[in-house]
Order: sequence, then structure tokens, then C-alpha cells
Amino acid sequence: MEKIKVKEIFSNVYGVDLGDGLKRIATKSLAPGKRVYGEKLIYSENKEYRIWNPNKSKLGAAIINGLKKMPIKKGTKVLYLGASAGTTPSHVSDISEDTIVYAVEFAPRIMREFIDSCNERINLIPILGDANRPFEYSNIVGKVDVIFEDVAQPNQAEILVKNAKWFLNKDGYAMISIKARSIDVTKNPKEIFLEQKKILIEGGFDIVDEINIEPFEKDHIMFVGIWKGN
Amino acid sequence: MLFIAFAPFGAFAFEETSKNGEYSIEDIKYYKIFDNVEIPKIMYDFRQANFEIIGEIKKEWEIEEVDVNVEYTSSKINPTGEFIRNNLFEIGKHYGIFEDNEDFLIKMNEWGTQFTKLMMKKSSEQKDKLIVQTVNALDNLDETLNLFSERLREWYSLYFPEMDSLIKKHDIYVKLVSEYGDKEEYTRTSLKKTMPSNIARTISLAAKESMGADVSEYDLEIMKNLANEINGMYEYREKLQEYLEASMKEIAPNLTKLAGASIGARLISLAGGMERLIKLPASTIQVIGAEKALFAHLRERAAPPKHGIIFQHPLIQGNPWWIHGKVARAISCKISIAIRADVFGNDISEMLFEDMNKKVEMIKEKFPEPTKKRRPRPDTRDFKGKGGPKRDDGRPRDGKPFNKPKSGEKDGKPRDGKPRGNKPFGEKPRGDRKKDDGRPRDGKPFNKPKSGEKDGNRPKPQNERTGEKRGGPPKPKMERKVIGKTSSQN
Repeated sequence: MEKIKVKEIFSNVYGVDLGDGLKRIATKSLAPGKRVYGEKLIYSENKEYRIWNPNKSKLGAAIINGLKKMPIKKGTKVLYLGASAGTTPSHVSDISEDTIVYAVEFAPRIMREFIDSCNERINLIPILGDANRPFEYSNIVGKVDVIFEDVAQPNQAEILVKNAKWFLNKDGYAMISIKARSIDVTKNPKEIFLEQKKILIEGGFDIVDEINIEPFEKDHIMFVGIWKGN
Repeated sequence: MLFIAFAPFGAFAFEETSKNGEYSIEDIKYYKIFDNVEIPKIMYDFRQANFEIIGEIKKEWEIEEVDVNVEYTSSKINPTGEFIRNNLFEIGKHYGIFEDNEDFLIKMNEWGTQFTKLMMKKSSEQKDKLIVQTVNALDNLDETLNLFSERLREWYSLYFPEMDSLIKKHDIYVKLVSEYGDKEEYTRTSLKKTMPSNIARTISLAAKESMGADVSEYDLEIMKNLANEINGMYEYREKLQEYLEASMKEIAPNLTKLAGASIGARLISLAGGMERLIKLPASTIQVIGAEKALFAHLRERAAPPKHGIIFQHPLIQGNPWWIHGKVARAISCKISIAIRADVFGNDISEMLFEDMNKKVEMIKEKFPEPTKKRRPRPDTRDFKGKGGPKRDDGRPRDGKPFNKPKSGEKDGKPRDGKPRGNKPFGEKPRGDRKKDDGRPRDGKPFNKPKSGEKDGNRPKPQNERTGEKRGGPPKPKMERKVIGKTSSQN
């Protein structure tokens, strides 16, 4: 067996070379020995790493497609909107390591699965709530450094602006993955991306990066913005 | 002005002072720390809009002022809330809630988990979730029953092939096999008890002169066992249906009266629960279950669907086709009212039912004759999100490409008049079509060439339906048929 090469590319995000020429990324596992979604575990220098599957996680796909700067680092507080079954949040909690990650999810059915992975990671706080109504969880969530949003709602840009007003520190980052098909099936994705970008800029963001995450997801784009307040 | 806001572990308040939004822990005028055990419950109460706690806190702090701003209820940010969120950990540490960062994480995690569990308990206590599951179970059961009944037919036909064509209904076929099995037991006298005598005679005659192979008793026993199992599933299906009807009457009496238990339950199931269903407009209820056609309409200007799941309603099925759409609209309006009455606790089913029937009668009187020629029904099998059906309604085409260039390139094009469907399998017809088309191209390759080829190659559905002359021998269809048959006989 060839030796596994692990190289840090962002803070707490590692590039992994298994010797087959494929570009892979991984995070150091906070709960060693546990898998969240059936991902591959590898060991290097007595540390356990979880391979980050870009087909299942849009943030992972964005990193592989060349994200310039990764706002989520060790020690950033994160508000994660649209946690779903906890695939990406588990990696986010690996990255932020010893600071809090609030994960908001709306559907109780998915929450049932997600709540299990929260038990193993103490920095991951599950919140059953509607991202459209941020005041409903305003008594739980504190100010954060990064908001990550992946909710696939028609008004997802407005949701991000609303949440940023409540919870985002000034000059904090926001990452939003926009699915064109969930906003309007009849329109050209490019038009939709422009529209959503406009909403974000008017809402008080400076867009610093945009990454198309094809081929992992179709008609998706990820915006990274800095919150300038209103 | 007094501002009140909440942290997970307590309530805090301070007065508005002109400090340009700069506050410190000393500015907190009132505070109340919640009991550690009660925190998830308090969070839960807030979410359920049970704001008694706020009243209690006010009493405890002896506030009589009217000018109080509570953040949670007003959905507006106030300075206290802003301060708490900025210093969540520091405030907790100041009041001795947390020791260090790890303690903070552990406690927050525990409260969040407990609170979420409470919320989930509430959401799964709703009876409509049970209905959704029941409907899904029924659908799965139907699928399985069909599959196994077909298998039994094939299997048992080795022994008694004549019965396959004599008895069309699966449940009767299965019952007969599980009851008799042996060919010699199909006598006229015993069959007569359960079915009309002429059918009993045909079956018993066929059993006597059967061309089926002889099998051993052991082989027959295995077939009978399968029939028994399927029969048991049919019985269970009936029980499930009864349960569905009973619980639908309990939670949605109006809807059940108007639409019937089956359609009502399906509406709830497709919408994802009663709470969601009451928020839908009647026009959406009309097309629930026809999403594929609806999106084809939005995307590729296919004909809009007239009805979704409510098409199964007897008032629609029992009336002539030219008023289907009108009746569907009338019924969906009444159904929409009925669901809301169910959720908010009124039984007005009799009135609604009468209204609905009256309305349908009116429509019937108004349109005794078809007002337009019947159009061939669009073939929804062809959509798959790739292209709409090609309508042959005689309207002139504007020839414009659609919004989506990918599918538009193929579908918006004027016909070149060549007969379709005579292409052998797998050959690409795209090449020669391209030349005839005079429109400018953007030169882009197809995003999905695979599906595009398939679409172009397929014989046009409406040609089959309207009986237009098809050029050439229908080769592809023949091949397909043979393949299908052999695979099912294996």
C-alpha cells in the first residue's frame, strides 16, 4: 500500500493524496471512529481524517472547484442554515473544532437523523426552526463569524440577509449555495444568479467570490460575501 | 423604554440610554436566570407562542410601565438582544452559568438537543402523519400485490394455462389458487358457491381439458403457498383501507364527505400534512398529483393540467370530458374550504356537499354539448423533464426557441415533413434534421447529448394516437414487444 499524503490546504481542511491521482479533501475527525454518512476514514500519523465527499456536500464541491479563501476556520463561530441530515455540518464542526456551530433545520423527519450526529460532537447545536423567521431562534443563537446557507428556497437570498441582520458580526462572512432550479424552473440559471447576487448586494453584502459547483451539482452556484451591515 | 431579550439561560433587560449602542454588563437593570432543567421547556413554550413567561417575569420585576419592548415577540432587533448575542458566553460566565468554553458547548448542545426533541415529539404526535404513512403503505402494497399476482399467474399457468385468460381480476385468481390448487378440484358444484354458474362451468370444463403440464404434488404445494401469502396480503390491504377510512373520518370529516377517504388521504399525503394543505390555494389543490404535467406546462408550453389526483373523484369521472376541467375547478374550491373547516374544527360537510353538487349540476346544464373539438391527450410518458409533448392542434407555430435552449432546439423547430418512426434503433436522426432547419444556431453542443438522441429518435406519440399514417414498417416497436414478452416469460 502506498503512503497516504496529507497536506493542509486551509485551516483544518486537508488535501489527501491516496496515490490514484484524484483530488480529495478531508477534515480531522472530532469523533474518531464514527462515520456520519458512510464516508471513508483514513489514518495518518495517528490522526483520523474523514474524506469529504464533494458529491454529497456543496461546500466540499466548492473547495475542490477552487474556493479562493475559506471563511470557516478553526475557531470561527458558524450559523449553518439548512443542516439537512448533517453531512456538511459535521465537516464544518470538524473545522471549527472548539467553537460553536449552530445548525438550523426545518424538517422534523431529517432532524431525527441529524440529532444523532450532534450527540457525538458537542460543538454542533441542533435547532429545529424556520430560517425564514430568525427571531424564533434568537434566544438560542449568538453572534457568529460565518453564516453558511443551503436551504433551496425561492427566497434564499432574502433569508440570508435577514439572518445576517440578526446574527452576523460586522465584516463576517456569508456563504450561500444557490440552486437555480428551486427558485424558478422556467428561467435561465444565469439570470437567476444575477438576480440573487443583486439582492445580496442590496442587502448589504460585498460579494468576494463565486464558484460554480458543476459537475457535482447542476445549476448551482456558491457566493461568498462579506457583511457590511445596513 | 425598557428592552427585554432572552438568552437560552435567562431573561435580561435594560433601559434605553444614549450610549450610541455601547453597553456593558453593568447596564443590565433586571435579570432572571432560568432553572437549568427547565430551559428546554421554556424554549419550547416560546416556540409554541406561549408567552406566559413574559408576564411572570414582568410581575417578578414589578414593571408597570407600558413602554416595554420584548424582542422575541416583536420580531424586531432591540439593543438588549443585540448585546446578549454579542456576549452570550461572557454574560453566562458573569452569572456563573458556564465555567469555560467546553462547559458552554456541552450545555448549549444539551439544551438544543432537548428542545429539538420536544419539538419533534409534538410534530410526530399529529395524526395526519399517520395518514401519510398509511397512504404510502397502501401504495407499496398495491405495487407488491401486482408484482406477486403476475408472478403467480406465470407460475401457475405452467400447470393450468387456461385460467389466466378466464379470470382477469388478480384477487379472485389468487383466491381460487389458494383454495383449490389441484385441477381436479375445480368442479362445477364447488365453484358455483362463489361465482355465477356459467363462469363456474367454463372453468371446470377448462380444467378437465387443460393443456397444462402435470406437476407433482410437492410443486403444486409451493404454488399454493405463494397464493396463500398473496391472499393474506389482500386481506391486510382491506384492513388498511378500513383503518384509513375510519381515521380520515375522525380527523377530516368535511374532506372525507366531499372527496372520499382515498382522495382526501392522498391530498394530505402529497401536500405533506394538513397544516401544509390548508395553506394551499384551491387552484393548487386542483393540480396536486399532476406536477409533471404542470412543470412541463411551465417549462415547455405544454397544455396545462386540468386535474391532478382529484381526477379520481366520481363527479369528474362520471361526467363528459368537456366539463372535466370546469368540474375539477368547482370541486377543488369546495375541497379547499372543507380542509380549512376540518383544521379549524367545524363540521359543515352537508352544506358543502350540497353546494358542490348544485354547482356541478349548473355546469352540466350550461355545457350540454362539447364546445370544442377533443384534442388528443398529451402523452406524459414522453416528458421526463426533457421535452413537452408535441401538440397537433392546428395552431400556427411561431417558431421561436423556448427559454431553455437545450430542449428548445429540438422541439420548437418546424417539422420537416419526413415520416417519423421508421428509423431503426440506435441510429441518430439528428444529423439530417439539422440541415433542414434554417434557424441560426448558437453553436453550443447539447448539454446532455445522451437524452437528446433518445428524444429525437422516438416515434412521435400523437401520430400513433390520432392514427396518422406512419411511414415505413414499425420496426422499433416490434422489437421492443418481443423483448418485453420474453423477459416476462422467463
